[in-house]
Amino acid sequence: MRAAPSLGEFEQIVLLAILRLGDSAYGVTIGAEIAACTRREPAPGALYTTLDRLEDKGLVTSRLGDPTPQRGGRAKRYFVLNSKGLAAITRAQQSYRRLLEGCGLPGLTYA
Amino acid sequence: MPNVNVAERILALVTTGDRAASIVGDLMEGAATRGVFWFWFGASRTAASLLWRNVAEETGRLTRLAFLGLAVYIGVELVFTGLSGLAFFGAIMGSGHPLHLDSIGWKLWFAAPVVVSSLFIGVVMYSNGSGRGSVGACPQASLQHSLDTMRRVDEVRDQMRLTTRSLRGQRADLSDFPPCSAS
Repeated sequence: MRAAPSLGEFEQIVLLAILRLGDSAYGVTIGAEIAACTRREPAPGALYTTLDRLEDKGLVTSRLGDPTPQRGGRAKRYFVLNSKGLAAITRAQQSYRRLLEGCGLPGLTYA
Repeated sequence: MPNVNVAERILALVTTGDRAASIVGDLMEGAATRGVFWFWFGASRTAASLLWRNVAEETGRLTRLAFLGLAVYIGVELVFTGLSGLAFFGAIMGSGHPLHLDSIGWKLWFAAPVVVSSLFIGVVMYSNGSGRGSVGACPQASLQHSLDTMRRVDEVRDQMRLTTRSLRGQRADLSDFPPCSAS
């Protein structure tokens, strides 16, 4: 039985951004969502490398949209979390939550 | 935006064609508000990141491919060196005269190992690599072979100079003797 894939911090951020965006998650919107939520502009290289890696790990699936003239006739690549990706991010966030419980960080309360 | 296809071709060297196209499309969207410099900065950083990812994640396979390529190169070199030696020896023993290394035939013969080994290394990489992973090794192999070709051209030129000097020396030695009809 293969071990569940471990997730780095940026991988988790990207997965959560994809989850938040639903059906409209592609490179530009994922980058904008991360920048809006974390106040940190992700480098394009880091973003696309991470998206490639997540797809290779089988945590997200991608499909090509229709080509648009604003993009020089190039299609958008939309990303969606699959069940494996959802399980991985849930597991990772549960671990974080267990670690945070009892830490008493200001502004964070867990039941 | 001009030269977007160049960026797409560069990215297609380190990832699949459709991924490269979608990345360039995304960068074009961003460049509409951030400018051309941002586009090229993003494209070059993305290409570097994807290339580094290929190298970092497939280090073992790329190292194995590099050694395989080196083995093929050395093998082809040994075969051609052996055949060259036989050809030299045979020609000298047969005619008794020095060889004319500046002839087209010998130039082609000296260039042949570069062409043949490049071809074999290409075949080896194609059959053992996933395409994307072997991309990193290709520029290195091309550079090495370009340098090697230049070295070979210099070697052949030096050899030709030596041969020419040798021939001139022999003619000078012969001119010291008076012709038979004059005696």
